[in-house]
Amino acid sequence: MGSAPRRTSPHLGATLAACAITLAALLAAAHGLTRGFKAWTYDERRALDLQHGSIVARPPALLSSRGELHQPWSDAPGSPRAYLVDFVYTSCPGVCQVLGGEFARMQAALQEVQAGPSVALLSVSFDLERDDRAALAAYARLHRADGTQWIVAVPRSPDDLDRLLRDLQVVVVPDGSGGFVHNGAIHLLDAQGRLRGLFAYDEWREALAAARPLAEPPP
Amino acid sequence: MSTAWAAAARRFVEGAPLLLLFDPLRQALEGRMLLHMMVEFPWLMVAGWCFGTRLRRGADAFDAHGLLGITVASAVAAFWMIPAALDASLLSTPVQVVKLAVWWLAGILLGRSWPRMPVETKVFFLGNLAWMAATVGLLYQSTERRLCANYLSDDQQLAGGALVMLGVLLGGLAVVFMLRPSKEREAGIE
Repeated sequence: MGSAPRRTSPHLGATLAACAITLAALLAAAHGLTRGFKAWTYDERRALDLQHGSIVARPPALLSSRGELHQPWSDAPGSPRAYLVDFVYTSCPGVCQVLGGEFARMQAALQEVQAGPSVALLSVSFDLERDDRAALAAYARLHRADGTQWIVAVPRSPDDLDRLLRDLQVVVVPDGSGGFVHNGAIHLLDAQGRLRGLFAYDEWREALAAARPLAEPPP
Repeated sequence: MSTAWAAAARRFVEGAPLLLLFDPLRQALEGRMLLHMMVEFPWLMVAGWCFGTRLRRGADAFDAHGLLGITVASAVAAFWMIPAALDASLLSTPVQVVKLAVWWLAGILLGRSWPRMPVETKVFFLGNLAWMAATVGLLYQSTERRLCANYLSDDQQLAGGALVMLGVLLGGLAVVFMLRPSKEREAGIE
């Protein structure tokens, strides 16, 4: 059986010192978490990390809708120098299909002005269970993704997916009715996989405009 | 017989946090913002409280009038109402471990502090927690965008409503303590 707590005579000075240390620890923890009391949510922290250029995605191994292994932002000669990336699942009935439409517009705009894919479009599915090659190909057909300028792909393994999402600080949660919700929309990455911009679905023109300077060859 | 039942119930409450080591249960709790904030956190604190009152020695030498207990409990509650903290605990194992530990430790300290707290301190603590919970709850409810990347908007609304109700409850409790100060003083002040 438990015994009554033993009372030690408390000292007010020691108590106040312990309280001060506790409060200092709270402030330090909150300061670190919120990046100096500037970012109280995950997405605000992500926006600050983006400003500091500290979000870098390691090149993921992807399987494209054509069944080819694809590794974006590699050092290979002729590789695109900028990537506009979105995350999708092909069974999504709503905003993903809208985003597919935006990517089709971006593809058309890019094809008008550039011969090679200096700016590449990449739609990455996070639904490894349902998005097999056939599903990706159907999605690519539906939105007229040409497979060169705009690649629709899925990470090769759950580890590849997890690493890509973590690197880009994308969080995907089930929406309770068979679909998913995630933060972020259009991600602009440079040739090193560094996140250079985040754009809402309806800001695809701004995303393109921001990607073009990155794609220009160095002087 | 009732003492045996009470002891068994107490041991169960004390040991219950170990159930959180069972991933499916913890994920089920943390999969909903409402359960994360309104079940897991109080659960850990109550378990710590029960455990703390059985300890022979705590941080009593640093806890005059229960001030350390309320400071730690208030600090822990304040920190874990920050949306980024909830997300961090779900995305980082070290943060998750720290979260479970600090809620439990806050319960231990508060459980030991409570008997030596003057009624004024109890009222201050409960009132402070009440406005904090209600304010954060209203913020969660009134913000249309998702504040946590891991939770949906409707879950955020539910958690916000529950926090407002908790605030009202704690505020009511503070009033109750305020209305019977003499009894508390007799029992609480050394």
